[in-house]
Amino acid sequence: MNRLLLKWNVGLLALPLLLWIVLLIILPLSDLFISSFQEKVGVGVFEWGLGNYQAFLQEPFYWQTFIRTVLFSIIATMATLGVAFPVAYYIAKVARGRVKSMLFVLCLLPFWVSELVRNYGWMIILRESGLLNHFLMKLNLITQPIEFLYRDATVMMGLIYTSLLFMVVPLVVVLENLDESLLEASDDLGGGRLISLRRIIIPHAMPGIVSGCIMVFMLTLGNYLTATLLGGKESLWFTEHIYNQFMTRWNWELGSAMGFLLLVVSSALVWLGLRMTGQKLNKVMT
Amino acid sequence: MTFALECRSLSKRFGSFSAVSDVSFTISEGSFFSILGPSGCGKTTLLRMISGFCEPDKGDIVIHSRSMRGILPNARPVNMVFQQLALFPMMTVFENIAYGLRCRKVSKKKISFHVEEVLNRVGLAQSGSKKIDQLSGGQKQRVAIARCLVLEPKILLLDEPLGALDLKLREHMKIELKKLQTQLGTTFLYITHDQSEALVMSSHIAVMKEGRIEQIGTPQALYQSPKSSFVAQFVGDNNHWRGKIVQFCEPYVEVQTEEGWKLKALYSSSFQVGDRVDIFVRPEAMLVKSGEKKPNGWVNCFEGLVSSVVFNGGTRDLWVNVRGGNGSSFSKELKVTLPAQKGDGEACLPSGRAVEVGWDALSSHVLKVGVK
Ligand SMILES: Nc1ncnc2c1ncn2[C@@H]1O[C@H](COP(=O)(O)OP(=O)(O)O)[C@@H](O)[C@H]1O
Ligand SMILES: [Mg+2]
Repeated sequence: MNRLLLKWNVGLLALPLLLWIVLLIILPLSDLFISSFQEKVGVGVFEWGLGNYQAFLQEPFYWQTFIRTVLFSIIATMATLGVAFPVAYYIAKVARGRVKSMLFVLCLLPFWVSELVRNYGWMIILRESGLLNHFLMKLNLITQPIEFLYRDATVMMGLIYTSLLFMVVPLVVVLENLDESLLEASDDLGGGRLISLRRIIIPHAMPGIVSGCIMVFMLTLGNYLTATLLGGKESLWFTEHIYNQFMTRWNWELGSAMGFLLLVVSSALVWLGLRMTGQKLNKVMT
Repeated sequence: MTFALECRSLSKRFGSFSAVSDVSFTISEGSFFSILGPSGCGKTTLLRMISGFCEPDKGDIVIHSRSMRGILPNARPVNMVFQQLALFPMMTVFENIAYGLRCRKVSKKKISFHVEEVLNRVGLAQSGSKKIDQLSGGQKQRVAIARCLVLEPKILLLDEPLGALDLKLREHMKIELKKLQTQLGTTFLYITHDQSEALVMSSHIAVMKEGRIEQIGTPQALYQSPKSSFVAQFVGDNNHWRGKIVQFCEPYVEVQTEEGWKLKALYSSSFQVGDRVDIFVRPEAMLVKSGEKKPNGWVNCFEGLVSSVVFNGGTRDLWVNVRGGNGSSFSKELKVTLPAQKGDGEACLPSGRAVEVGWDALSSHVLKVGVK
């Protein structure tokens, strides 16, 4: 009797989780999957087929943007790692007490305003009549205002800025439980800073590095606002194409195919990253 | 004569707290030198200054006639076995030991030759490919030592390396370490808070207290003639009284203890009537008699009751509750160590037995209070 009750209770506890998985993950994804294989043959008439994927491949504008977005996301992830690692190391190992928590809050600060506001902030600073140009002109460093917006480098900077926290947090966590005496031992055995970094610190931080990279890569790949607002027309982000298919062109089937491609490629890249670094997903995510 | 290591009046402060003050000693080559002191007396700080992780505020460290001032840890001819071992968990045993050689850019072939050799020497020949967390405590210990030895340091620094092991293994490793050191001829600087470790292994011991060195000497010298009350109490067991010299009666001095006992010790010209002194008597210097016939020849002799007996195999410890003579009302537990010989009736004293405890004047070790 009790046992049966227990079973029911456990079932009840698992219910929200189950609902969450089914409603938020399985349902939308399978819908995406199904509709990506539907071809429009007439008004409201659909047929199974690979037409959407063909359409994607036949339009260079689409797949070029796609490749560009993936490459940019990879570069942005690596750049974020490069910026975040010293910051995380400083927070975890060098800073003490008040300074430490202050630095952490500083990393968190950008997230107190919404992404939209944050990006408008950047626009105010970077546009042709913006703050940066104002100062550069005042200092006589330039004579003509420069348009900083709508450049690849600006998009990159915006993406790094947005992603920094998601890289810093896992890195701080792993670096905090790096035993300092390991570094001293390395030093004692004749290892310089670079050797210690390469052979002790980075291998120790690997789970954090990989989980940070996965998060940042996913966030960047799926980013919409930063890429659109700071990038302008010249540097299109793939999410914009998807958005256009759904909202402007009203071609949900092609949009689904594009979304599904993005999902497949990002999953494949994450898998590749895990394989290359010899990490396990379950270890990285805990 | 050149020394393996010379420390010249080293001092180190942390804020206003003086962790190491004016420490000087020399270690001759090939010796097993221990620094013995209670926890927090500055041993690790001293070792970290020698290994270069911490700069002394004052003083100089000289290794084989070369001053170490301004020389970084990775360039010093010493290696350190850390208190928590600090083995690299992301590497195998082999990689751990090869680490130092790889930093020195030794060729792959030579590395594997040297690592195999040192693995053999510490008795881990088959364990090269194991991960660190697959090793037992004693094996980790040996890897930590091997990792340093492979670099052939001038001095091996060991910071309480046996602290994390269980008792049995510790006893075993003590002997192992001593053997290894004799075999290699490397100078060992060994840090410990355990006096028995220091006594067993060392050729010389420096006893430290609150950042200062109290006494340096061979284990025998420290045990038999401690120069301060701290050393007398810290190294080995001792029965202890505090009192005042009341009179000379050649060839003895008589001391009246705070409890009112009258104890006799050998006269020395440095004593004066009225000096405040500590008296120490080793448990094994004490003698015990039971029964009617009064022992004679014992200068110090007191009646007491055996309160407990502990059998240690080769020896037997008695705790005897002794009333001081001359109507003193204070009683005191004295520790007496007797050899446990077979058929020795006197050694089989059960608790509760009335006995006489005594010792000769030579065994009373007298130290003036507040004077080194
Ligand atoms: N980095 C430090 N900052 C402040 N105080 C320290 C530091 N390192 C050690 N101490 C203090 O110095 C004293 C001696 O420490 P230590 O050398 O580790 O002692 P031991 O190894 O003999 O136990 C301790 O009281 C400790 O609190
Ligand atoms: Mg210590």
